[in-house]
Amino acid sequence: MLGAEVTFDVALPKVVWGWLVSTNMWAKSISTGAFFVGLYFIKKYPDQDAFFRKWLPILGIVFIGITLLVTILDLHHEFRFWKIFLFAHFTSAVTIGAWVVSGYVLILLAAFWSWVTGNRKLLDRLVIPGFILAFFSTIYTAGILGQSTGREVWVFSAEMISMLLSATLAGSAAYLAVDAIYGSLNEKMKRELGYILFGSAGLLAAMFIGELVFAEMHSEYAEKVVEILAFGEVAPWFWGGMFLAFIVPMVLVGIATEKKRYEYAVLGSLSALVGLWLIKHAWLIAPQSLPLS
Amino acid sequence: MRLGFLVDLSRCMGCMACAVSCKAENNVPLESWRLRVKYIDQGEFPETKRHYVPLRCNHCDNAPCERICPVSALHYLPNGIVNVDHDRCIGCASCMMACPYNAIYIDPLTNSADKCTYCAHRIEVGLMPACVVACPTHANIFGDLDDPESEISKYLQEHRDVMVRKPELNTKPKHFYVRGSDVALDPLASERPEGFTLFTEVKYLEHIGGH
Repeated sequence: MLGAEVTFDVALPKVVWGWLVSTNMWAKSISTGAFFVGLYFIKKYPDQDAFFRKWLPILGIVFIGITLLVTILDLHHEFRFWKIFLFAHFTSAVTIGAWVVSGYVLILLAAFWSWVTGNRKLLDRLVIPGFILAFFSTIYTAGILGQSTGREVWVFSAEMISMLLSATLAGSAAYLAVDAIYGSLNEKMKRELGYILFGSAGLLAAMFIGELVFAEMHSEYAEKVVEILAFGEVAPWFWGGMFLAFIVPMVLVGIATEKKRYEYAVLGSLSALVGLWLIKHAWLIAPQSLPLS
Repeated sequence: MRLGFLVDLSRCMGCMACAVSCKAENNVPLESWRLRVKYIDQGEFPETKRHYVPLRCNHCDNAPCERICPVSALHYLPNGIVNVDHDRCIGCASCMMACPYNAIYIDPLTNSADKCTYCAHRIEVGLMPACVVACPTHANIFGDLDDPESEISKYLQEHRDVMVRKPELNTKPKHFYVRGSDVALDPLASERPEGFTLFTEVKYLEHIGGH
């Protein structure tokens, strides 16, 4: 600091994107995660895939529906959202996201029809385009954050990996939670879902801890953001998220697979889903807490 | 033609005539600002100094707001101005997230994004931007950067201390400052203490965002 302080300025917007955008990212993680994880099990266990053929489209549609709802609610002109298709500007990750998610919704509807009619071949034919659209639906938000010039902690490549891991974490957690209610998964599948959850949580935790340690070496802005995350006004959300999304699930899923007590894995799943929202919210808010001008 | 702005900070006396004329010319709502002047006090008595910094859209050659706008509401005019089409804007606020200079706001009356357009409507009929006309010390220098004979081009050639805000972001701003300093142009080089503004304690707008 150079012994200087702002003595006059006008009131400025502070948080531009708030909880609606956090919810958008969180719900999209569950939807596309359910798609990725569901496809994996359908391919790996074709004789025991009824659970996933049912819940993949249901989870996918419900949570992508929430994503789209909060996206439109967050617009200041809610009834102009159609312009994104009519006046599409394809340098924008927002536009690309809108088009990709539209395609992904069609795939999910086809997957739902496949389950309703028992036409397994329909979903089987859509695996590759579905995977591609789910992949880009997951990462387009990383593109938006990457295009947010000046918010230097949001780097596309890191955000992309983080969002893919968020998806596998949320997808596996969602299936474990659904299985607790409508259970039909065998022990092997539960164990495998636990491994996916455990691995995703561990890698995501490593990414966030890495950012906490290395941000100060990138730029002054990144260092200040990390200070806000770790010690500032969003610290309760950030550390709450770290604890609930990563530590609790890893411990509980570890116990569940070791002791074959899968009720622990369910608790871990719910904790992961709550924690994931908290940490996404903290990560979204912190860079907006610093003055840009 | 590439229109640009230059502010000679040694001439600015913080009178805010530019900010007021901008509001009057463009009907900017009370709580929004296309152009504002920030005061920064530096040092300890008796070694003190006050910096006045007019802040407006930089009309970047590589504008992040233009790139991220999903419907091209933010677009380039042939003279290099980054303009806004209020009727096309969907109010997603992506431009506000992308702009590293905090130059864009959501107009509380129209719910569309808005910002300084270098008074494009005045330029179209051969007039100077309102802030240039209102400035009593001619601190605002406006003109064609592609014309070597324009006042702004000569100013840029004659001064070795030309600065832009956040050059490391590669936005290529067409808004320059001379006789500036890091304290004046880097938002992280000064503190923003709570409740210590000279004339108001309102720090943040309620209209947009929120947790």
